[in-house]
Amino acid sequence: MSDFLQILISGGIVGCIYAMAALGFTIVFNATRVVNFANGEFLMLGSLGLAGAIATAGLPLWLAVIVTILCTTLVGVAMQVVLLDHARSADELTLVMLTIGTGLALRGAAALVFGREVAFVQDFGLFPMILIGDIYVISQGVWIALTLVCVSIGLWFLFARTTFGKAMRAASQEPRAAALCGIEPRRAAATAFALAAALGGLAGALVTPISAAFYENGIFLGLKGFAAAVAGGLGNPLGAVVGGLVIGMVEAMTAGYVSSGYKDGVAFIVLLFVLLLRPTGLFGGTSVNRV
Amino acid sequence: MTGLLRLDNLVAGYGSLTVLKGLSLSVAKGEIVGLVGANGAGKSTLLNAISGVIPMRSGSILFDGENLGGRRAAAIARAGLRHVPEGRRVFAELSVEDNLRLGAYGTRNDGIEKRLPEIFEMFPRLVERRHQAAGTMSGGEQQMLAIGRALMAKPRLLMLDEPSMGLAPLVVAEIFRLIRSLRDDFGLGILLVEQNARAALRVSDRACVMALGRFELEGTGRELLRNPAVTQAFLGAVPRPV
Repeated sequence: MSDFLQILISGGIVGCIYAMAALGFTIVFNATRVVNFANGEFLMLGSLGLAGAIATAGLPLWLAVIVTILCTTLVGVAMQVVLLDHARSADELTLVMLTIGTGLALRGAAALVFGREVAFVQDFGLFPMILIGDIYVISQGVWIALTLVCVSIGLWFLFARTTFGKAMRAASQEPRAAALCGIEPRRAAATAFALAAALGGLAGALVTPISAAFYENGIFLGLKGFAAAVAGGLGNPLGAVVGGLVIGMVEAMTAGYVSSGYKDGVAFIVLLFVLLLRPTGLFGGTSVNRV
Repeated sequence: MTGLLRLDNLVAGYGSLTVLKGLSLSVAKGEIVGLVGANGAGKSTLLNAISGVIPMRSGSILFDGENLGGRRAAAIARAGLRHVPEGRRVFAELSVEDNLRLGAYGTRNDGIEKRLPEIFEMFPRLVERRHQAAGTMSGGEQQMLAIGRALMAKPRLLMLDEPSMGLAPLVVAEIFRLIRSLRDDFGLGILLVEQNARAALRVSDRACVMALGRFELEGTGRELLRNPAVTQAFLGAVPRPV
């Protein structure tokens, strides 16, 4: 039993990271109706950026995290403003292809800038390791879980309570009508990319002490985030969080009880089952719109 | 008459297709100008060109003396020229109140708080639906909301695209009463595009019949209603034998 709980908690911590990756997909999808397959690279950049900022630039941890998030945010905004915005009249499939290409380019650029070695960063510290009976929660796990809670509350507040967040939702539902209300749809899109990239940078930085930084990490982080977002019901933030946690936990179960070799495939098995049983995802309702 | 809105030889279209082939028109404060014509005549395109949804190729659009050419749609909306698009286009997943508040996006908060009750007074049926998702309302209510949303920012000119489309006759009558009242009680300039030509011409001070991107006929609403060419083409009336 304690093995089971231990695996559940370890999986949940990784799941929190997947949830943040999934939220990145959700935010961008909600603002632009585009699935951004470069989202995983934001996490990879956060991870490598943090390692680089500490090892090479010698920054203190807190400053390194802030600098890393600012840099990934910049990359995200640039991606929208410099690239996608110029193709905004293209169909969605073209835009998705552009995001895949951007992902590849970011991966290559990261290999050039940060090298192809695995880099390590120590725990963020501050919180002690928590021991309940013989089940433990690592200190970095506390950081990750608390961050996910804060991020979720922050995003909920933004989109459900602030005029700016509602304007972003309006711009995604009816871009033309939003523009006729004085809302700039392109600003909403750039903001969404900024938020997703900042969140990716943060999640990537947080995961580095437990999984090390490597320029190819974005592939799996991105695909699992995507699986989590779709399993939860693409566009639903609560679904993204739950989807991320479920995939993290199922993955840990598979590694613990079956074989760690199957670990990386299990996210997609979960996704398949969810879509077979509920094609709109766990929390995806049918949208109501009378005409 | 200088006019609130003045178009001079406006040319616009989509891609290589020229839809509007040099249109000149003016709308004054407190005046309803109707645009009627068959499908594909370019009526909606004209509204889209004025509100900046599509760029214009040549000519000029003056609003209150300001040149709107080349401005973005959002900037034109904030300048006080509001376009209520065809098909209402309310923000379906947001509440009625949020839809209205977003209508005044970018204006000061205390202004919105003062304006909201005025709009609810104008559209009492929206009050009870205040917290309901806009997409769950009936077509008539959504049309009221779309107009209310445009009025939130106290525009000086309102452009309505097919406000009666797909609505029950009683609701259509209500919409036209509202359009009259916006002119008479609030002094708005209104550019009205309608398939329902008879109703549009009745309410219009002046009107244009549009075909293939040009104004074929212009006159007061009354004149056009009596014009046999108009009645034949749009009102389905059998011309009297001469």
